[in-house]
Amino acid sequence: MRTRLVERAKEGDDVAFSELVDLDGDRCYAIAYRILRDAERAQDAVQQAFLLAWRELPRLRDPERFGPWLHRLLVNACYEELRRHRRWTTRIRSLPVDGPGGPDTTVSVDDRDALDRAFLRLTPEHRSVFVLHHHAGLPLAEIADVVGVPLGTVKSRLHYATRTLRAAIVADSQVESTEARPA
Amino acid sequence: MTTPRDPDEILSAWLDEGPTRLPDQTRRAIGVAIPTTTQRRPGWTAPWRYFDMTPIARTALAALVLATVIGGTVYMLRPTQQVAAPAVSPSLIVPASPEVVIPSGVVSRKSADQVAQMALEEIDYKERHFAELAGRGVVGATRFPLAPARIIRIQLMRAGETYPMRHFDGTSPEGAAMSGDGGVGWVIEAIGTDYTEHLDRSNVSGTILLDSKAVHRFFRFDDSSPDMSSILSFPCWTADASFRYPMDGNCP
Repeated sequence: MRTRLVERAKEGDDVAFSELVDLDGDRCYAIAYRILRDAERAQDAVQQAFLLAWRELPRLRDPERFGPWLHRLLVNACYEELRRHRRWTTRIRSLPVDGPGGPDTTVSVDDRDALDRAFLRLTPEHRSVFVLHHHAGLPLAEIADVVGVPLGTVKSRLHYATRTLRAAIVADSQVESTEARPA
Repeated sequence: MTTPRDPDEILSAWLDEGPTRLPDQTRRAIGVAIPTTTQRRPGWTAPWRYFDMTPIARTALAALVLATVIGGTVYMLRPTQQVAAPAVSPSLIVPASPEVVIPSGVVSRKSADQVAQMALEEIDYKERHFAELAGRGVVGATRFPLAPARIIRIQLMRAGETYPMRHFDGTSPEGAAMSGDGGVGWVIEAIGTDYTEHLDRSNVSGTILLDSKAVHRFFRFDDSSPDMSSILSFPCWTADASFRYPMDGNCP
C-alpha cells in the first residue's frame, strides 16, 4: 500500500502524499523530537523534511526505499535545525508532556536532568544514531544508509553515545550516594 | 536504602518520554503547502544521471550550464539591482577564480568540472524555484537573489579526510567540518543565494514564509553516490529584518 502511495505521489498526486504524511508523520515527529529535544523545532524539522520529500520525490528511483530516504531527509533537517540554533541552546530543559509518552516513574528528576544535559552535549551525528537505533529500532545497516556513513562509524557513534549517557546516570548515582552518606 | 538502578532501563524509559504524535496544526500546514509546491522533475537539471550521454554531448551541456550561470550572474549584477550588499571587510581573502586542489595519487570517478557544474546547478535550481514562488506572491519572495553564484574552491578529498568549514576571514568559531562517507569525494565551496521555507503555524491557511539569505556553501560529492551527498551553509547576510537566525559572516 505504501509503495503504491509513493508511486502515486511521485506522479504528482498530493492526496496520496498527504496519506503518506498521515502514515509517517507521527514516527518522524517522535524521532525529530528525540534528536532535537524541542517540540517546536521538531515540528519545523518534520515540515522541512516533508516539503523536501514532496519536491524531490520524482527523483526517488526506487519507491521501496521511501522510508530510509525520508529518514535521511529528516535527519538532515534536524542537523540544520541544530546548526541554526546552536548558539542559543547552551541549556535547554525539556519538559516531557503528559499522556502515553509522559514522564516515566522509572526516571527520577535527577536522572532526567543528567541525561538531558549529557544528551545536549552529544554531537548531532551521535544523537541521530542513538535515537534511530534505540527509539526507532532501525538496524545498524539501515542507519548507515540513512545517515550516509559506513557501518563501522555507526557502531562507534552508537557506542560512544550510549557510554556517555550511561556514564551520566552512574555519575548522578554517585553524587546521590555521596550526598546520602552520613557525616 | 535505595533500590539498585539499571542504567539501561533508565535510559530506555527516558528515551520513550516525550510526544509521539505530530500536532494536527503541523499536519494541516503541510497538507496546505503541498499543492502549492512544485515537484522537481528529473531530466532537466542533471540529465547525465538519467541518460547515457556521449562525452561531446556532456561537454556541450556543461558549456551550456556554465554560460547560463555566467549570463545569470551578469544579469543579477546589473545596476537596477534593488538590494545593496553590506560592506565587505577588506580582510576577506577570496581568489579571483576557483582554486582547484587535487592531491597526487587520489583518483575520483567524477571530474572537477562535473562536480562544479552540479554545485552551480543546485544554486541555479534554488533561484529558479524562488522565481516560481515570487510569481505566486509568496511572502518574502521579493528579496532574492542576494549574491551572484560563484565557485570559490574545488577540492578532492582523500578517503576519511574531513574538510574544515572556515569563514572567508579564515576563522572557524564553531569548529565545523564536513565529513563524507569514508571514501573519496569532492568538496566545493561556493557563494550563492538560498532561502528557508517556513510554514506559518500561527496561520491555519499554511502561508509559506521565506527567509532569503546570501550563503557561503559547502557541497560534498562522495564517489559512492551518483548525486550530491550533502550541503552545509554559513548564512552571510540577509535583507530581511525579521530573519530568525544569526549570520555567520560576510560573503565577498
